[in-house]
Parts: sequence; structure tokens; C-alpha cells
Amino acid sequence: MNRKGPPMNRTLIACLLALLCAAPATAFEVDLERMVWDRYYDHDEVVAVLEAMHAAHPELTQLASLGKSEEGRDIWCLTVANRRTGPDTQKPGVYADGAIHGNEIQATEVCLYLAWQLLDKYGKWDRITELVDTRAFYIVPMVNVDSRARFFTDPGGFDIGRSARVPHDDDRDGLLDEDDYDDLDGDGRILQMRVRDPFGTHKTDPEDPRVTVAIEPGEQAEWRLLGREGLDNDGDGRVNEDTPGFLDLNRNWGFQWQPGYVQEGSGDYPFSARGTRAVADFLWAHPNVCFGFNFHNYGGMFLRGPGSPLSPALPPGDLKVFDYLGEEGERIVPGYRYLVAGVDLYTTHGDFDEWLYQCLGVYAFVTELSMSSDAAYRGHGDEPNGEDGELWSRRPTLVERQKFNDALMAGEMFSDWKPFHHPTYGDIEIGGWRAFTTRLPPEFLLPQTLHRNAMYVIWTATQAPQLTLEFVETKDLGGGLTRVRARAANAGALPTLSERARGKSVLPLDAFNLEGAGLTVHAGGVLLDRDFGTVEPVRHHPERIPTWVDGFSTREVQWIVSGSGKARVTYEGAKCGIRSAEINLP
Amino acid sequence: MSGNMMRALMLILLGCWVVFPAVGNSAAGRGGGDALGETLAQLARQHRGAAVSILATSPGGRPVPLLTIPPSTDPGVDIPSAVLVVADPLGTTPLATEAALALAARLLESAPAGRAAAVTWLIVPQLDPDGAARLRGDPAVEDGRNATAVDDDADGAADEDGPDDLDGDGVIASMLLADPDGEWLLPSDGAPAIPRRAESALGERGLYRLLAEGRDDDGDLAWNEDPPGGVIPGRNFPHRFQHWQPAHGPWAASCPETRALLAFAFAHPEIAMVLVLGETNTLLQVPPPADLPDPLLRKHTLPRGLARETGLDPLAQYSVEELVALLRAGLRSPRLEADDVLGMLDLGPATAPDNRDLPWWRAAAAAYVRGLAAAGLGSPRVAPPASGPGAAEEWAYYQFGVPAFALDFWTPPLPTPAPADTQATVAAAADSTATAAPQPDPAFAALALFSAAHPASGAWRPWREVALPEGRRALVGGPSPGALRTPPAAMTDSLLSRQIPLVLGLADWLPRLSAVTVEAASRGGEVWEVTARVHNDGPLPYPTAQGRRTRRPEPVVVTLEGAEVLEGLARQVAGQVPAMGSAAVRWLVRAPRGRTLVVRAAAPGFGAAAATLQPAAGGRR
Repeated sequence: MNRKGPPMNRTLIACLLALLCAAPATAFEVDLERMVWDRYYDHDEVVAVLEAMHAAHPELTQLASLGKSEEGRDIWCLTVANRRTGPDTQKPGVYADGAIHGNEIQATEVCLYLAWQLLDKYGKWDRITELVDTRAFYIVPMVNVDSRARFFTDPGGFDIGRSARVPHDDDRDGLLDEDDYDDLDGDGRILQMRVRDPFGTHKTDPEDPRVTVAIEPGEQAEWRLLGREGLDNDGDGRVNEDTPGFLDLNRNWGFQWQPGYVQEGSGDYPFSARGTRAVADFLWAHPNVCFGFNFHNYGGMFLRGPGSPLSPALPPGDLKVFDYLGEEGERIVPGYRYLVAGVDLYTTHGDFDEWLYQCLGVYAFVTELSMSSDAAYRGHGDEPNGEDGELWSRRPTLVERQKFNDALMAGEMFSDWKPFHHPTYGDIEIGGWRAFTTRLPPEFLLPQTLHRNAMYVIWTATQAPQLTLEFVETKDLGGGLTRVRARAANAGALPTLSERARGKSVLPLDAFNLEGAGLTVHAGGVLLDRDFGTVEPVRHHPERIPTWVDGFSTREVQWIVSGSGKARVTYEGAKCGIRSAEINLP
Repeated sequence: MSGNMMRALMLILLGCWVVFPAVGNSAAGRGGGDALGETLAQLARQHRGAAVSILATSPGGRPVPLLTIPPSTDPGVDIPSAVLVVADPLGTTPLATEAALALAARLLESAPAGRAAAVTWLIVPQLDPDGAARLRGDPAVEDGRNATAVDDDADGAADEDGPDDLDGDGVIASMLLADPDGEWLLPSDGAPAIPRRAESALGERGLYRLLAEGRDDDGDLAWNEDPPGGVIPGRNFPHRFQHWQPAHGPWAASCPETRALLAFAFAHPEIAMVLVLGETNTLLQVPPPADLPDPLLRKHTLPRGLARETGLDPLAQYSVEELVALLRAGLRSPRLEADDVLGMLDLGPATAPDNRDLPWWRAAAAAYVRGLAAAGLGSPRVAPPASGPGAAEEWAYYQFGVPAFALDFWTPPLPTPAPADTQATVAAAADSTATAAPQPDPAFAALALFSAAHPASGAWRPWREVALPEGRRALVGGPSPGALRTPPAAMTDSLLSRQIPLVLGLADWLPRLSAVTVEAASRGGEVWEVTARVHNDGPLPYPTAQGRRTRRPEPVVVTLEGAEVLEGLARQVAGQVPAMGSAAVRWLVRAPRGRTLVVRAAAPGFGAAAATLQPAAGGRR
């Protein structure tokens, strides 16, 4: 196939296929040549883009549903890997997913952009072409597909829709999800409610009347905040106390999972949710995956484990790898911090990155995407000098955000306070920050977030094990004996197996093998010192030498054999595929 | 589909299962495989109301059946409380499956006394059919792993080095492999010969390694290191699950048998008690209290995030009582209680029974021990092992939040000590430096003695020399597979007939919502203060202290109809209802004199009751 083919034809076919496949039919037309990245894509649009990518690049992609969500939506995985250069499972794999929390929607856009970048630049940028030829990218843009879909269709807010759609009795009253938020004024949004109360807790900010701030000691209050827009639907004296869910998919993974009384929202048992189960089954079946990225949406952080004091410390070799990857991430995505989740943030049990690393031996990060400081209104020198991460110290003030809203968003981020008569609270006001704000950057800021984070994933792919059989040599030792030496070289930064995978027998070690008809292998082992011929012997079945190769390193082995004719030396590893060479024995 | 059609279909399915090919012979076990299917099918045919369903299919393609037995007396509620019985979760205790069947037969064939008659019994007679089949196999192996192929030694091959029947006797026994670096001896001065560890302090040198009978099939200098199968369901539950342990699974609930049981339990909130029949006994050995002081009584520092959110001092130490008050204000949650606060403190999972639960646990244990003695089963016997990591009974108590007990039914009797030589005892006591003669493992010794007294049991096999292909010397013998927990067949009926009543009697410990009483006190005119009390006539609170902490058992919902509620909620939740006590909820209502007020209280797993009151009449009903 002509890789470069007529692009317009390819795109047109893709569009037609996407339109044919999309159900229900949508007015959205995918144009892969002119994809726009300063916007958010809803569920049907994301699916249409995935289908169009697959239709346009059938040799480079596979599109498969990993399973159905609780509400019956497909959890799609797009595999980007050139099938003509070998099966994806024999190439180092990179896994990325998004929207495990349904309201963290830009995580999906990062995944889509990553796939688009790989496909759009294939045949144009040499490094991307090489990566698509030699690596496998597994991209799941919407893990919590139900809640992300509803984020676009249901009245909501920026922090509504984190949970999977698994009914839960949040308030322990024997009823499930019976008191959701309510769009009282019918504007399609769930905003905030406040009521005038001189004995309340807040006042109007003197600098901006839209901003409600907590009073200081000695100040008279003006307002009492009533929480998000809603009613006491079940007449229990509380408002919005049992909203849909709560099952936090990023507490439902299988490593050091803990029940709800230890950590809220973890589900009944590990992988009790369909999304986590579907992804786990997929990853379990893909031991070639070397990296995992789980995109979230707030704080600008690359988080690694341990997340819990119950988790074991990282072995030193893996710690160095994480530091190398994390620190490079800080450079590729300026402003983001490389942090340890359980130390620098808070305790979590049963989250994605720990499961992937501890149970599968895969280097994994939770990436918190956007920084609210990006949406700041600040001059030189106004930046607070916080050292504890974006989440706490670099947040813009509410007044700064309003100035940003006015100056850069024409006021579209905020709904002004409007009077409303509430059946319980009486005369109140409804207003506040809209759904596509706060944890979601304004659309004009999206492209850089998407590009930097996608390129960071692509950069990590370049660090995957790159194994070659550097040489295989024979030496006649006389008397019918031959010495065979082979060396594997890893040009990638990552070891062919993580120290965790090796130490806990998560995966079999890689192995050198020597095979040949009529060949007798008398001894074999890893060569510790090639000058003096010191060998760490394999005592049984010496034709197979279990080992691994560290990053930017080599591993050399030696066999003593008798026999003649053709023989084959192979190196096989779960994360680096198979390399082999044929030799002729004298 | 009608109930009858469903029942007919189930019987057809069971008929298919009855002819499911059994694996190997059934020399070492009873009540497993096809026999189990046949027994359950018969029970379902013969007893109206009993129903069999398939909970899961094991990796080996074997069904995990569930027998449902409804109450034999009117429970007085739409959904009666249920007792979930899980037998043989480790796949190595066929007696547990037989006990489950005996329990079912007793329930169906003769109406039980007490609460046992008023609850639904959900009986899973064999959670680990693959492991159980292995014990019945040829050769018979004591290894509860299910049939998932796992590469235990991470060498790239799965299940390539399991045990081998070296002497062709149809069982995998123990093997003493001659090894100058071994730790074991086989003293020749006793009959039968019982291996014991060498005491280097006494100048002894080990001669053997103690292994399962087998060869180094893959030539890697390890014996039986990658046996057939993968995960033991009874080690795969999520409380205290241990990662990276052989046969425990890669993570909790990874195996289909365990996952299906968990899903079933969480879908049935009426389950009020879990009984695990197997090799452990938490009524003979009540788990000890925690080493740390009770978290309710000690002081705590706040997690950083919570301190930031509430404005409290992250370095200060607070009592739970202080935190309840501070967090109610700081989080604007006036209904926050001590157990809610415990859940916010990053304390991690509980590792010992809640101190508030230990009194009823110990009382139940004492009653059980008295029952054993009354049944003539009080003699000392080999102590059953403590619950292991990932055990079903621990999950049921610590995470599912209901009272849960593990029960075993037999271990060999401990030998009666010989009458003490008073002079020798005194002399030994006087010489504090005297070293006791090395003794073999008491369980081994007891089993060997039992076998000698019951030779037909074959429980302890004499040591026989076998040739290994590696040219090494080995002896094969010792305990037969499962023998430490499997009595001779002739003893089974007697053992179970005396112990099943004790199992049934555990239902009497269930809390029970026995009544609601209502009082109305006049507050003038048509205004009344109505107080409803939810009564529990069971010896356990509802829920247990750990149940409160887990927030899993359903709340007791109390509703009031027939009056305008002025203060309080028409639908309220009662807190914990104490054992043999009551919990109150109150309303201020407006109702004309003579109006009938209706109060209802209900919780799945606890019960339901209603009461009426006409305020004009005052008093209570």
C-alpha cells in the first residue's frame, strides 16, 4: 500500500465510513485532514473520530470494544501499530486512557490527539513513522464512557459526573440515587445557590460583585452558601445528598484495593465496575505494554505510586526509571510537577498506576492535566512562588479568574447571580462557574495541553526497550567443541523488564535460546566478564538462559556446544519481542 | 417464564450436570463432583421450595452450585433474613461439603428449631470444585488451586512441574528427599516414623528436605514448583489479600468462583450472617483483639487534606469525640458520627475484631464449645489453623459487615498425655537448663497415632523408598492428602449429626427486628410527640460494630403515616439497635384525636414490623 496515498480520497472514504458506521447518525462530519483541537468532542463525536481514524488507516489501526459500560456504551480501544511490520503484541506497548472520571473530559481529547498525531504524522515525520512501525499504542479515550457522555447532555457542572453510573446509597437511607441535583431555573446548568443571610459565612467581594468570599473575623456576613442547585427530592431535610453513583473508577483497581469504609467510592470489590474490569482484562492480555498513562484533569502533575502507606516502596532500579521519565515530563510540559501520589498529594488505594506497576510491572503515571494557573490574569511578578504543586499554591484567586473570564472569554465562564424562589430556602440566588470551566481549560488553551501531553507520551515511547542482537559469534575450541557468544543491546532507556516484574515474578524473564538440529549444549550462562570468560552458569537446560537487559545496556551470553551445521540464536521478551540470528557451526 | 418452567429448566440443567464427567476416581473424597450434583438435584426434586442454581463456572468447567432453602416457618416479612453458608473454599476439606449437604438435608427433612426455621439458607456446598476434584483425582492431591493455568515460577511455562505419584499408590503424599543440606530427620525409634526438624543446638544434622511427592519434571532443581492450576478461591477474598503469593491470584476477586460469590452477596442485602465451613474454626479460636488501643479511645492526627479542608491543625492530636464535634461544624455535616470520623482518618483496614464485637463473639464461642462438649466432642484435638489471608470468613466480617464464623468438623484427637512421672517432672523443673527432647509436629504425631488406631483409614502412610530419575534417594509416605481434616467414612455421619445442630443454632444469634412500639405524648391541641422504638430481641446488635463501620448492612428505615409531620422526617433511619434492646426515633406531629398513625420499620437482614396508634387513646401498642 502506498502510505502516502491521495490524502483527500482517504479522508473522504473515512468520512463516509464514519457516517455510515455512526449510530445514531450525527451531523458531525469528521475531517481528519482538518481536525480542530480547540474544542471538546462529545461521545458520538469521539466515536466518529475513532471510526474515521480506523477507516482512513486500516493497516495502522485496530478499533475494538473492550466491553460494555453499565449503561450499555462501548468502551473503545484504538490500537495504533503498523501490522505490516509485525503483530502489535510483539512490539513494546504504550497504553493511554482518559476520562476514568467522567467529568475530566479533556483527558479524552489528549487520547484522541495522541492517536491523531501518530496517524497524521505517519509518513511525514520520521520518528513518528518509526514509532508506529515498531511500537504499539493502545488508546482508550473514554473509560467512564457513561458519565463523560452525560457531561455533554445532562445539566451539570465542572465537578459533577466523576462516578461510574452504578447506583449507590450515599446517605445510607436505604434508597439509591434518590436526590440528584436539579436544574431549577431550566438553563441547562447546575450552578451554585446562595441566600442572603447577615449571620451567614460569606460576603460579596468588594473588588468584584460576582465573587462571594468567606468573611474574616469581625466582618458581617451577607450570604449563606447553599451548595449546588437542587431540591430536597426525598424530603429528608437534605439537598442533593444522594446523586447518581458513587463508584470512583480510580479506586476500583486490584492492587491494595480497600473497601468503602477505608476509602469512599472504591466499589464492592476490585474490578466490580465494568470499565475497570474491561481495561484490566485487556492489559492482562497484553504483557507487551511498557508504559501506562491515565489522564485526569486538574493540577498539572505526573503522579506515580506509592499512593498508599500499605504499598511497598519502589525498588531502586525502577525508582531511577520513574525519576528519569517524570523529570523529562516536567520539561516537556512546563509547569507540571512530577510527584509521589501518596506523599505529595493524599492517600489512595486501588488506583490505576499502582495496579499497573505493582501487578503487571508496567511503569505508569496518573497525569493530572490542566493547571488553573493557565487561566489566570496575571502580570510579571504576580505568580505566587509555591513549591507544593499547582493544586494548592498557584491557584488564581476568584477575582483573577473573573478578570480572565471578562478579558479572554467575554464573560462566558460564569453565570451571573439571578434571583430564584426556592421551595425550601425561599428567595435565593443562582449563579456561578459553568461546567466547561475551572477543571476544564477554556477551549483556546486546549491545543497546547493536548500537544505537549501527547508528545510526552510519544517521547516515552521512544524510551521503550529497543533490542537488537548486536552480534553472534562462534569460536572453535577444538575437539569438536564450539563456543558461541551472543550479545543483546538495549538502545532504549527502559529495561526490558522492570525490577518489580523481575522481583515479584510478575512476568517470566526474557531468555536467550540456542537451538539447532544435532546440536548438544554442554553449558551456558550469562557472561559476567568477557575478558576473563567468567560466566554465571545456567545449570539445567543451558540452551535457555533466562535474563533481561537494562536500559542503555547490553547482555552477553555464552554457550559451549558440540555439533555442526545451522543453529539459531534468539532473544525473546514480553516487552521487546523476538530477535534472532542464524549461525553456522563448524 | 413461570416459576414451574424455571424449576423444570433448572432440573434439566442439573441433569446435564449430573453426568458431568468426574475427574479421576473418588477414592479420597465424598460428596464432590457428580455425587454433589446428584445430591443437590435430588434435594431440589424432593423438597418443594428448595432451588438449585449455578453461581459460577470454575476455570475447569465445573459448576459452583447454590442451594436455596426458604424458611420452613412464616418469617413474617417479605424478604426474610438469610444465612449464607460457604463450604470448602480452599478445596481441601470434603468434610465441609458433606457438612453443607447434611445441613441442607436437616433443614429440608426435619423442621429445625429456633431462628433456623425462619431464615433463608443460601448454601454453596463447594466453592472450589476444581480443587476438590484434585483431591478426588488419581492421583489424589491436596492442592486447592482451581484449573487456571498459571506460570508459578515465571519461567515461561505453565503447570510444568507438579507433584508425581512416584510409588504408584494413587495419592500424592509427602516426600523426604535425601539432602545433606536438608532440615528434616526421620527418627527410627518410633512407630510410626514421624519426621521432625533437626535440632542443630543438640548436635543433630538434617538429612532430608520435606516436599510433596514428585520429581523435578522440568530439570530446574526445584521440585513441584509449578503444579497444575492457579488460584485457590478461599485465598482470593479482598480482606487481607496478599499479593505475589503462590495460589492467591494476582489480585483479590480475580478468580471467577470468588468474584461470583462476592457479586451474589452484595446483590442480597438480606444476608445477615455468613458461615464458612472448612478447615478454620473461629469459634474454637476467637481472633485476638488488636495490638493497638481501640481507635475510638486513642487520639489521632488528621490527614493533611482533611485538615486543610476543615481548617483544623494538622499537627494536633484529637480524640474521636473531639473530631465528631469539630468535623460536624467544619464539614457542615450535623449527622456525622464516630464511625464516619474513623473512616476519614486514613486508619487503613481493620485487622482485628472491633472491641465492641468481641463480647458477643466470645459468648457465641462459649456456647459452641459447651455444645461440642454436650455432644461428646469436647476432647482435645489438633487445633485447626487460624484464618489465612484472603479468607472468606474475614471478608464477611470485615468488609461485608455481618457476623461471620468459620467452622471445621474434625481433626485428629490429640494423644492423651501419659500420667506424669512426678519425680522426673520436679527434677526437670528444678533444672532450668534442661532441654526438652525434640518432638515432631503435634499434628503429624496425632495423625500418625490416629492412623495406627484406625489402620483402614490410611491416614498416615508408611515411608517407602522410591527411586528418582535424578539418581537421588527419597522416601515417600506421611499424611494422606486431606487426612488431617477428613475422618474415616464410618465416623462422618456421627460427627455431622452431632455438629449440625450447633451450626443451625448459630442462627439463634441473629439480631431480629421483633417489634415496633409507638407512644404519643400530647403537646397540646392536636400536636403530639410520637416516639417509635425499634426492638431487637436477638443477642447481637444490628448492625455489628464492624457492620456500622463498613456502612454495608442496610439501615433500619422507620416511616410514619397518618399525621402531618411538624418536626423530624416522615422517613427516618434508626441508628444501631442494641442487642436485646431498642433504638428510638421521634417526631412532632399534628393529628386529630382518634386518627390512626402507622409506623413501619424494616431493614433487609434484620426484619420488619409495624405498629399503629391512635393518639387520643394515648399509651402504646
